[in-house]
Amino acid sequence: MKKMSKLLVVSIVLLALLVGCATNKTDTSAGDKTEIILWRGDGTDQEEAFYNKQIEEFNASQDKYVVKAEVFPYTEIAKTARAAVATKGMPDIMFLDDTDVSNMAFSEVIIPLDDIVKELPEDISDSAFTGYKENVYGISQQEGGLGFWANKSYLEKAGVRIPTYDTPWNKAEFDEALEKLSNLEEIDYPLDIKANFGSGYVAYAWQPIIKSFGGDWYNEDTITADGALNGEKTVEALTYIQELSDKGYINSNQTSDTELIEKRAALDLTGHWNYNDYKAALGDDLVLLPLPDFGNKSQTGVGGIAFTITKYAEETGKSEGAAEFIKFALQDTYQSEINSVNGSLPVNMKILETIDHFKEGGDLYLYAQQLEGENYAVRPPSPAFPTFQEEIGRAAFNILHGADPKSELDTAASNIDNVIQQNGY
Amino acid sequence: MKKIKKLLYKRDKSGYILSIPALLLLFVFVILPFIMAIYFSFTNRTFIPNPKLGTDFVGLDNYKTLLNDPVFWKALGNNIYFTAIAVPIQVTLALLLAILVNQKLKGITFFRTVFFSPVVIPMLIVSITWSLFFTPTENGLINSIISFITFGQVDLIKWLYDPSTAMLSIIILSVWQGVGFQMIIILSGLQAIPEDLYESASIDGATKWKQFRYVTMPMLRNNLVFVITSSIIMSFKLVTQVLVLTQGGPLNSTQTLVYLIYQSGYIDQMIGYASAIAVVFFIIVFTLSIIQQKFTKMVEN
Repeated sequence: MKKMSKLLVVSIVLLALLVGCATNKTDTSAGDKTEIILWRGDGTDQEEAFYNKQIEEFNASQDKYVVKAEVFPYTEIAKTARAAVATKGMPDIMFLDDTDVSNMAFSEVIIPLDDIVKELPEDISDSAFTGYKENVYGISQQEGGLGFWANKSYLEKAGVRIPTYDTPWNKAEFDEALEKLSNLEEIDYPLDIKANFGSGYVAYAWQPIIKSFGGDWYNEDTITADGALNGEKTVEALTYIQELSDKGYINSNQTSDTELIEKRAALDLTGHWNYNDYKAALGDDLVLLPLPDFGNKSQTGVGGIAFTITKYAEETGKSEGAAEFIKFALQDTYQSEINSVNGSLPVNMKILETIDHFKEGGDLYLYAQQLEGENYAVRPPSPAFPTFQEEIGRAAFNILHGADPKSELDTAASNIDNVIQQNGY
Repeated sequence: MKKIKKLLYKRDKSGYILSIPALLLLFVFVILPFIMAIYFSFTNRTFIPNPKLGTDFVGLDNYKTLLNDPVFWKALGNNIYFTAIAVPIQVTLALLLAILVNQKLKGITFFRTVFFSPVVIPMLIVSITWSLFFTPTENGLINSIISFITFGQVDLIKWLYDPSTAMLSIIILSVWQGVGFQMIIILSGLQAIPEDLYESASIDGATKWKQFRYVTMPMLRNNLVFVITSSIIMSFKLVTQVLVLTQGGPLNSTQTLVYLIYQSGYIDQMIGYASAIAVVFFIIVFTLSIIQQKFTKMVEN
């Protein structure tokens, strides 16, 4: 009797183990070609078609390697990757948001790509390369553009000068512009700063403003927060944004993000991804303006989705094939298509200049000038970026709602540096 | 064959055998992670350890940091505040609703369904919907109703954007979402009370209130104990609403223990520290339920 029940237990446990292991088998070769697994986030139909085409054409051009894509929800890639490290089920190539790259590099999940960078065309903008410490770990094939979208007829009505890349507003002019615009009857709040977009957006879109004041989220040499995030200039910048809210120039209780196209705002702090919608709504009234020069030039933000190669690929001897694919995907033919696929900027500056939007006189010419001028803010290349983002977002929210900027930023800086120190980053 | 049959039909043995699959799952997904959490809480483990740095034992360091962390105490205070306000309101409302829908009227099932329906909506959706109701401007649903009723005499309430009302907003939507579940449990208790108890009570001349006080309440005791216990434990687990609506802000006014675990583990990637919070959290909830058991036993006697 006892034996019987033991037998039952054992057989059930064995069965469970068997079921668990059955899915663990991976096949690394397809025919005589080496299979390279690529993980990417999902996209729009056009993006899907574009990425699939890249893979198909690469596979057709190759007799050594064959790339196979596995698609995840875009926001889940980094989490899936972290789980995959624990279960040893890594792919060979991963698309990562460039803010996730440092963390993966620190954990040695991904490998340096400096050798690939050397072989890429010279015209590729530095902003395409995401580094951690001395090495490049991520390479993007697309870049974002950030500035003010503006309603030209409101600017003209209020008698505000329309700035250009070479002649951005200075602080006094910007203040005057906001005051004049807020006096227009049609306008609720002259500037839509997207206060409702949350911490990720603050870390990205407010950073150029902070940097133009001479501050930043982090110390460039040590990649820590104390002294920069709570430094004099950053405090000054956030105090200024708080004043904009107090004066009623921005809406800190914002819940919608359609103010510009509903013609209730004159300026809108967003980027290239809104171009088509805004153009359709405002037509020729839509203009793209640089952010103001608060003392340290007009700045912009950068950010893209980066190709990375995993340690696993290196260990299984597939990093060479992965590198082949990345070089293939960054070819001129794909670079010239990327703008029509999702509106973003190709990273190859020579290609960028051939696209009508980005030529002189084109609607998006400013983005090309900004990228060439290299006055852009790079988000903290720190493994603690998620903490940076959370703490910056929390401090910004509290400051918008009346908290003391200096003490909020002190708290944020000490929390971030504590995590950096505790985790040994 | 006969042996197996005997094994399965014999009471003491079959119970164990049949519960093996459930126990196995419980072990893999609850007990094992909990043991791991206790272990990790004594280390400086990060989400993915750097191969060169590895993971070290740090003794009680995580617990020391935790007890000196003002945010931890703030979160604990918020949890207690939430429980102390939400649970009494929720249970009272559930009791009233249950009595209301226990009447034998035509179409009463419709009302039962209506009151129960928020329970089947995922908390995520409820939170997003209520975030729109709580819009802090004059366009917000709740604000415009208040200003309409009071002829604009009441100032706009900033709800989730104001440290003094943020937790209250979360309490309101949580009560709305959870009350239907408690209602159904109390309703089942109400329907189990035999009709003749009320008949004899009214023959003895008991008023409606006295019937409620001396017949309904004692008969409902087990249901109420269950409802109160489960809602206290559930309200300590408060996290979805915070995650969706406030991320612990403004000024930590909606910070809760479970959100702190999420933040330390997922965002700050300090698995060791997050595990320490989880262990302390477990001890708190465990102690609470023991006190509660003792208390209900005391009341019974």
